[in-house]
Amino acid sequence: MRKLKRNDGKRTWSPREKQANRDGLLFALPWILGFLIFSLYPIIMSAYYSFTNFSAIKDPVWVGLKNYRMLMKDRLFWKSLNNTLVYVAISVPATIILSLLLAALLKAVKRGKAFYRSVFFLPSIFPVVASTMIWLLVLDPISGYLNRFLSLFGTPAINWLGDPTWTKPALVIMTCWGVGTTVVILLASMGDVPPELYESASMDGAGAWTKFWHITIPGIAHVLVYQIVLAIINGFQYFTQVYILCSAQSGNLSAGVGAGKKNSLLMYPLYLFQNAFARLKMGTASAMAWILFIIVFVLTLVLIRISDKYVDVK
Amino acid sequence: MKGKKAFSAGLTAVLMCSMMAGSTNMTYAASTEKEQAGDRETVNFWYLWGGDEASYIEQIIDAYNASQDKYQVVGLSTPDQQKVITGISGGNGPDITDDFGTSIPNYAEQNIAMPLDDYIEKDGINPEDVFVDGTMDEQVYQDKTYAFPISANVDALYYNKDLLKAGGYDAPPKTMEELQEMSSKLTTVEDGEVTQLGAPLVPNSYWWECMTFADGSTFGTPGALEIDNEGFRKALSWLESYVKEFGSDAVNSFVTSGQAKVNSAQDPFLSGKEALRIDGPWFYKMAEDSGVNFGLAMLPSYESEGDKTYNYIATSNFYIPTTASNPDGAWDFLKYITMGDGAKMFVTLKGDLPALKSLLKDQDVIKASASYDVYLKALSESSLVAMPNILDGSDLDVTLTNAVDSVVLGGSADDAIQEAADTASGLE
Amino acid sequence: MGERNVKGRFSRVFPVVVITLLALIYLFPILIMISASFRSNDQIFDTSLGLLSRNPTLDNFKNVFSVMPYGRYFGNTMWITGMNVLGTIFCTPMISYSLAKIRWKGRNIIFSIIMASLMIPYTVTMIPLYKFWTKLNLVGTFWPLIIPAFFGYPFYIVILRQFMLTIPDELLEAAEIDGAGRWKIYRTIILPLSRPGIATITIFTFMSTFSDFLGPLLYANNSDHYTLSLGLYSFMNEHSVDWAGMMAAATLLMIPILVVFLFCQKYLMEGISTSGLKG
Repeated sequence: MRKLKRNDGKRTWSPREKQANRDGLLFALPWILGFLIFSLYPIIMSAYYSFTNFSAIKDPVWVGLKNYRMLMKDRLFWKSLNNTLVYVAISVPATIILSLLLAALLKAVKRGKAFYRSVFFLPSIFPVVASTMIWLLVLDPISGYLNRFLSLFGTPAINWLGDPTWTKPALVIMTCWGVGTTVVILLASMGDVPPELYESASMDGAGAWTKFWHITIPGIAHVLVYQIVLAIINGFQYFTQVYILCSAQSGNLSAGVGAGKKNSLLMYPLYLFQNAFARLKMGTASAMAWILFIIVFVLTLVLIRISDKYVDVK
Repeated sequence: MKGKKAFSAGLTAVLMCSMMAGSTNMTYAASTEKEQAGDRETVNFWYLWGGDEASYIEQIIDAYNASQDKYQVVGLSTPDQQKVITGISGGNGPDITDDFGTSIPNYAEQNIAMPLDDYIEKDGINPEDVFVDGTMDEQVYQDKTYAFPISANVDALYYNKDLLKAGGYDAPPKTMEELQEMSSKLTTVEDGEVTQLGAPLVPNSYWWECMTFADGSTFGTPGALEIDNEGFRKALSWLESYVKEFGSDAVNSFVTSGQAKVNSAQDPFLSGKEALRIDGPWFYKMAEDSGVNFGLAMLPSYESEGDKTYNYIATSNFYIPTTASNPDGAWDFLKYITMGDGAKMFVTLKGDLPALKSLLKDQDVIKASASYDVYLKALSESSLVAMPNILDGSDLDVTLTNAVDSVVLGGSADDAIQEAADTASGLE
Repeated sequence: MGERNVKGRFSRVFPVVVITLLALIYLFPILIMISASFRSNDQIFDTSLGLLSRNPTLDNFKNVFSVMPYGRYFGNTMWITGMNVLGTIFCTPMISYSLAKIRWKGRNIIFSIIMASLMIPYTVTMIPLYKFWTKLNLVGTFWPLIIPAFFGYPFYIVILRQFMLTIPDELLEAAEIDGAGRWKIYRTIILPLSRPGIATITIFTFMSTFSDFLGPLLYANNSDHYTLSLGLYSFMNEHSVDWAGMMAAATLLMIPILVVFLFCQKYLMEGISTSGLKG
């Protein structure tokens, strides 16, 4: 047998390598099993469900492409996809730029760094239920703290969560409050940029902006790309905040469907969740999940391709 | 190094905590098992009410447990409908739970609620005789009965006496036309901000259903929905002109803000900023507690209707899930709480309107709340209209709410109705 | 000379001013929550009070304990969190070790699959997994929220792998020459040296599990199994929201998180700045 294998042109493994193969597999086994059970199996099943008519209690019945065809005709599907795309398009640049700004400021601060860092990090570990309810207080159109603050500058009151044109910016503001993790990570990676680069730039008379743009950004580019990818993935999964906002806004937990004025808070995952657990259309929901998966996958690949061109990965 | 020790000490503390928590869980699990092992059979009852309302339900459960010795009902406050449903579909949901009439078609279709017909027949009950007219409609789907109603909620008109007086009125509106006229007269706007809302736009439900039904219109029947009906058209056209008069931004801000604060201490009516309000019986106690000088009246109908009055009826109900492990016990408790002593307790404690005919004339019930003069009269005298009992009932509700919202946002009534009718045509 | 001094001072002071302002903005919502928890319900929306309260009251905190069984929910939350931390500490380092320090044939494939699986939206796996746990009859228990932690989460595996890459190979080779097996190397060299990295993923696990909402929403299907995060829901009634009570509960909920955070933040930052989180 052994000989046969060798003749097949496969490479020979020395006993040490064989031992390594075995040990490596053994140590990685938990994840491999976990992947098979908690990722691969559900992915395959959700693909199967997406071709069936399926509620949690009744068994799935094969319906072919019906779920996908129905979705293409479903206004709310397009509305929710549009909502999520708009949200991602605003929130990703906004959070990344803000995180860069905060990280750069933190880097420049000499005293009390730990304190400031904690302040910016704290909101990101805040329980979402609590923070969303607080934001309802802050964003109230009449008595909210934010409008009250803006009125100091003569800005007319904005109906953040009640006017469809403002709901996405309102959500982005809420997201911006939770950028702590990104800030801390960017800050750490800024610390890795060799100080000599800054020194020589200073000698050439470069200003703070030039240094930031030509030294810091390229220095942390690989981290930045990773953070952007994460931000996109998280953006497409944005769910809990809108779920709670809608329950609280309707003042009625029984309102299982619908989301904000003119469905302006109906994010894609929320619509998916409603289809699965309020309308019990699990087949439709699975089809939605797969469409989302493909969108995220393609976007991420494109982004990585582009960044490979421009960013020198280490 | 010292820091590392501190860290592992902290970690150990966290783990210890969780182990302790785990062990209390174990003892808890053991105690529930003991309960089940006793002489009485356990009936798990989940209800959507929370806070004070939950304590009323617990009183009813205690009374039931004391009234017989066969079953032990164990109550759980689970204030999220979707959680109840996921629990049921996960196979370890309750034996009995409450919901709203509009959910029944979906629950019947998806095999979530169990048909009660065998039990009904066995016990020789004729629900139409027992429950208030119209309340059984929502509990039946395709000729099978899936639930019994616990409360039959209709609406009434609350008005702020002080605000009406300041506006030159000494009585609530007698007709819908008058209500609409008063709405404008009683609205004040300062610096682009509504400081007093005359129209009953908060909460964003009830008023438009009632206004639609006020000339005898309905939203049709399953299979023949009528979104574009005379009443809805009148309601939205009035709303359109009202919004035009005071500005969409101002009205919308007031409604959004009011909606987030609904029934809290800063509720616009309770804080004296809303002159007219269409709401259910639970609102009466809140209004009383707030100290607002208010009155309560029957809902007016359009002048063309003469003495006829209409009201929007919605039921809450109890049903037994198909996955119930003790349906017999659940049925026994269901009878107690919808038809027996529990029904009276429910109504008098919680302040809901009875769905049980015998309670309409019950002196204890009538005395339970000063609001019942009006509400019970509405329940027995008005033509009660329900929303169409369709599978996608909640989607229909959202569609219509969206139509109302789009007019509040400055859209035209025509477009809103057109869009709603288009959307509704795709509903089952 | 003078101008330069001014400029130098400006560039020192300017960031401090800006960052202090921003820090205040970031703190503000938390202060609102704390202040609201001392107010009675009729003052919740009264922004004219700023962050103060007319007649501050402790009633809301008392209410928290009567509205929700705080002890039970806290116990549930700690149990789930503790088990997740345990699972993460137990399994993640092994997997990361295999990917970082053992040269074996499947390594690169496994690593690329891990990276790819970061991209799977939870919504894709949510429904089949729900069905899966249903079949095992474990919906309504804590296990669906605990068991997956014992198989390692991709995000944490990647962080720790990057961290372990910084451990010099010479150390391991020396141990190997001394005849130590991989298990011994793992225990005596890898684990002790990866402490800051393990600390980082521990804290991340703690924070994310402690405040998780969707998981308990799906799987804890009766209030005996509610966590603190879900318990905040108890303050929403059929017709109204008890704002003051909810804010008080949220304030109480923040305390354990704050304690853990303040206690560990040094390790967290140390871990992040030495580990692969940054790339």
